[in-house]
Amino acid sequence: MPGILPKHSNSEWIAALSGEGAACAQMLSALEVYVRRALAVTLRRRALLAEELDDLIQESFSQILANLHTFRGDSAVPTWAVAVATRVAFTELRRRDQRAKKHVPFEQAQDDATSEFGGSREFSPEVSFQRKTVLEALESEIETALTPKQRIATLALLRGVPTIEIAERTGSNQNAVYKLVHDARLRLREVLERRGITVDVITDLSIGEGQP
Amino acid sequence: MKITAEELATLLELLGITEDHEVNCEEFLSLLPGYLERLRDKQELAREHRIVKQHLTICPECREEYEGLKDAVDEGLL
Repeated sequence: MPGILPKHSNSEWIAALSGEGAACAQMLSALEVYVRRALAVTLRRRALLAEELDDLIQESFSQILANLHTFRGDSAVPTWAVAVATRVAFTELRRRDQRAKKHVPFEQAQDDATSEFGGSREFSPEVSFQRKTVLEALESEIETALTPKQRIATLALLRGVPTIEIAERTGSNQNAVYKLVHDARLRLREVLERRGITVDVITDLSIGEGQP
Repeated sequence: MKITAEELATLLELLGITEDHEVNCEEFLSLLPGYLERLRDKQELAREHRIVKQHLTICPECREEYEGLKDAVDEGLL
């Protein structure tokens, strides 16, 4: 760990973060400075105002203390604290982004996430024809093989709706949304395989010419 | 809820990398601090590297968080 924090064992950190008194307050304060510095970097790509960053740091730090019991011990406490703070801050930012869109129904959501997929890859006429056939089969299976909940959650994620938003609007939680969409992907893979469209075929059709 | 051609293409690629057993975002977060420390210390990453890479490909939200944390590692803040 870089030398901007006094060196303590994890058990000392846990005791300090759960305890009271001047020594605990001093360690807590040192950790807060450390998290603040790291969070200013982890959130940098979002170009936030100083007061927005302050709000997020405050909220994140209170969540670190509330989630101390989830620390597994396979890293130093300060590294874990920064990872938790980053998750809390980004989740809150996604919530705010979504609120700014004034509760657009999932089906009208526009994908403003930059996708690594699709894009402007080039395919030979033969591969293009195969892709078209497979994509038509996939579109048909989305309608018939998925449950309405699976379909809505899968398409909402593809449109860049944050997981937290899907969870909150469906009265669920983020883990349940992940499972719902994972099950949907497994189901689609299974039904496509029954049509002879194997994972190998999918992989071949997903890679444009000249791709590694 | 009409799906666009681009969304179908994206979903097709996601199906190509879907695994029977995947970590969810909460499990991913619990792996991440140890992973980042081993990355920082240039230690062996083989065990969790595949899991982390697969989840980052599937999940744009965790990818955004990872990129921020990686910036902090690169700048010597973690």
